Amino acid sequence: MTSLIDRLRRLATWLCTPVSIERRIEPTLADLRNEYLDAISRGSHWKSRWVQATGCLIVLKVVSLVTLERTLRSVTHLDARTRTALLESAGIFAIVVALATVVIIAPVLSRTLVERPPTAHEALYLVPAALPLAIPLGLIPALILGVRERLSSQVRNLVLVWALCCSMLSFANLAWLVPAANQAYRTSLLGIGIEPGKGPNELTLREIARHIESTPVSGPGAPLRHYLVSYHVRWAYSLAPLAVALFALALTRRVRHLLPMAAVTLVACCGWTLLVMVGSVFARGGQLTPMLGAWLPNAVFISAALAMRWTWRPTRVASD
Amino acid sequence: MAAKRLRVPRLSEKESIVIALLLEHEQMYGLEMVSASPRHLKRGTIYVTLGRMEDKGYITSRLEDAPPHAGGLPRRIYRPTAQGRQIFAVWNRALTELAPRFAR
Repeated sequence: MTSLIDRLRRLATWLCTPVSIERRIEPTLADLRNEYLDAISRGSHWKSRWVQATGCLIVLKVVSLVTLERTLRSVTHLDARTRTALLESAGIFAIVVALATVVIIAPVLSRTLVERPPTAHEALYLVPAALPLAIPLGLIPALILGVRERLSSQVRNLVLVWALCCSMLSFANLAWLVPAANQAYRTSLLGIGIEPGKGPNELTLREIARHIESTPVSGPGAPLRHYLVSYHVRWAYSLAPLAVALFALALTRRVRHLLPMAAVTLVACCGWTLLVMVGSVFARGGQLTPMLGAWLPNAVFISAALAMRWTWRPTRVASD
Repeated sequence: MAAKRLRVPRLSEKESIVIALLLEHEQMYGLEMVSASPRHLKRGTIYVTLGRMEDKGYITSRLEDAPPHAGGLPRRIYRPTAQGRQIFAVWNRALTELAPRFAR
């Protein structure tokens, strides 16, 4: 029982402030301990086990509520410095995502120009497919240049919530919206009102998983490889905003002046794009496994973030 | 310069029940309150409510001198503050006076 209480206390220490632990968690743990001892002293072992199980759930509920309360407070009570950092980051993010989306869509649209000018609908159909790449590319400069020396624990938490939201939106987009938009684009391009057959990029995540399960394993270059790449890419690109956010946050601790920051941002954006292209091409060509090819950019950026975190000296960080 | 927004103290239903219980019993610990009002107060939320009320200055707390069992942990005992009593009285008066008018 003591070890269970210690474990719950350790979890709470990791997630909650000392005041919350003193006022909210410790009294709950005291109730749990005293109720348990009461049951033991009465000789009812089943009751003591029941107290242990339900008490554990109650403590977890209190920890969740305290964490939620803290997160909501940090979102609603922003100081001027944090607000400026977030507004600047959001501005840079919006501009870069819009530019990157245009840059990704433009070559595809220019191909249709050979036969006829593309319609506005066709351009819109391509936006969902461009966003999973444009969002990480937007987050890198937004976080490095927008946050800069204003990094505090509040900014860090909000940035992570922001990246998590981007990841969830990217997942929903890649799982359902992109396949529908791709199919609509192809149908519109065909121009005869008949839907063409669906390829890997036009299947939803569940459809693609079902297709992979029902198809026997084939060698390199076989159609199944493209389905596998498309499947793993969707998971990997969904988590890309979190990976680049961790990288950018680690970097803001290391580089302090604007010019080196701009240079590092450019290198990071180019590096990300290169890794995405290399991973995708090699995975489709069979030089890398589909999973490794899809996760290569995330793996490199998370490794870089961890390396920077481990070698970081606290004297260089801005005050919280 | 814009005038600073005035923060009106509020008392939620749970907070109101807690202060009413504390006024009745003078001092209590969390589980006692849950046992006294099981329909309104729950074990998973009582200390979150009590912590928030302490932050607002409605109640105050201290650790009990000795735990009820050997090897147990000392429980936290709560008492209402003067501010808490005052807000409870004003809040109750407002509800008593205004509720019939809005009930029409």
